[in-house]
Amino acid sequence: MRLILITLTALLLATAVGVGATWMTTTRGTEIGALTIGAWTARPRTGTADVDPYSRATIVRNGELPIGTGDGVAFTATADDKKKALDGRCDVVVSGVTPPARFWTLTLYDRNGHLVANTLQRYGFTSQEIVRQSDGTFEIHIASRSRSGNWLPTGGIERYALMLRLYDTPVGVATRTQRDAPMPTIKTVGCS
Amino acid sequence: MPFMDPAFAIAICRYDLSGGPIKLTVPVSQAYTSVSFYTRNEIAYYAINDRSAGKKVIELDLMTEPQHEDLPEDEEVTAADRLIIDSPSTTGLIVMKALAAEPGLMQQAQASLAAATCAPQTEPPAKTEAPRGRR
Repeated sequence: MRLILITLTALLLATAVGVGATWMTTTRGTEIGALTIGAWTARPRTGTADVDPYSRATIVRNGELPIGTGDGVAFTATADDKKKALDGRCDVVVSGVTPPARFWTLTLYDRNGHLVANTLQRYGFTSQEIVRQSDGTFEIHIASRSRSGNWLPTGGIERYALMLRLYDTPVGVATRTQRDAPMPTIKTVGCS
Repeated sequence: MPFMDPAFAIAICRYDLSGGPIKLTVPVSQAYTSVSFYTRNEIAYYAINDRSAGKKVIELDLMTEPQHEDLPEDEEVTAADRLIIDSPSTTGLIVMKALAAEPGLMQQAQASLAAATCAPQTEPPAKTEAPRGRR
């Protein structure tokens, strides 16, 4: 009798740990097959048939369509370079260069993946419409109030995510470091 | 759908291959056009863009592996410019995207996708060949 009880307890414990760990990885995201450069993280394998089971579960759970590998790669950032969460009430500057790609887009989402409404109807920039400096680098100012140059409105929401998508790019499963894929920096320069 | 790219016009085709293969034609827009294939469980199993297609129109045949094996093995079928995609599942999604590089170009991007077709093959395949080598 005692043996049965102990066995049952052990099994229940194991189930709790297993289900809990799976829940955590599908809700918080995984590090399996993740490519992290600066504040940016991409999962190039989610765009292929050999996507890992955890990423697959995340995709199904959120109902999003991952970007196919022959199409491009998506990098996400939810914090700045100093790991401070991106706050729509602060001034954030995204600057530098992007990895080689025929086109790229930078988009601002709330934490549920929806666009943030604003009067300009501006939700991001494409590589073609961005204003660059003479050396080819760019600066995007993300803030709730209008800024000169490339301004991306936050609508003053507390937490947001940035997604940089590279289309037709050599960046992918084989990419490892900043040298292969120079990502722009993200700095919080002030909070109102 | 969360995390969609607002810079793109999008058209979606749900397919069911149980009645036979499907032919897909997508005219290429000015900036960038891509076609991605997903299984019913949203696994991205194939994607192609306008440059890798190398033509003004992305043209391909989608079929299941058994349907592919049943194709007659004459030369035309194996011709390099006929693109055949094997779908791992009988049903799934095709997502066609055209980039509007500036907001003003969105209508144009949508118009080029509106001309895309995704339909069952009516006649025996591989008789109509796309013009070669046009860039």
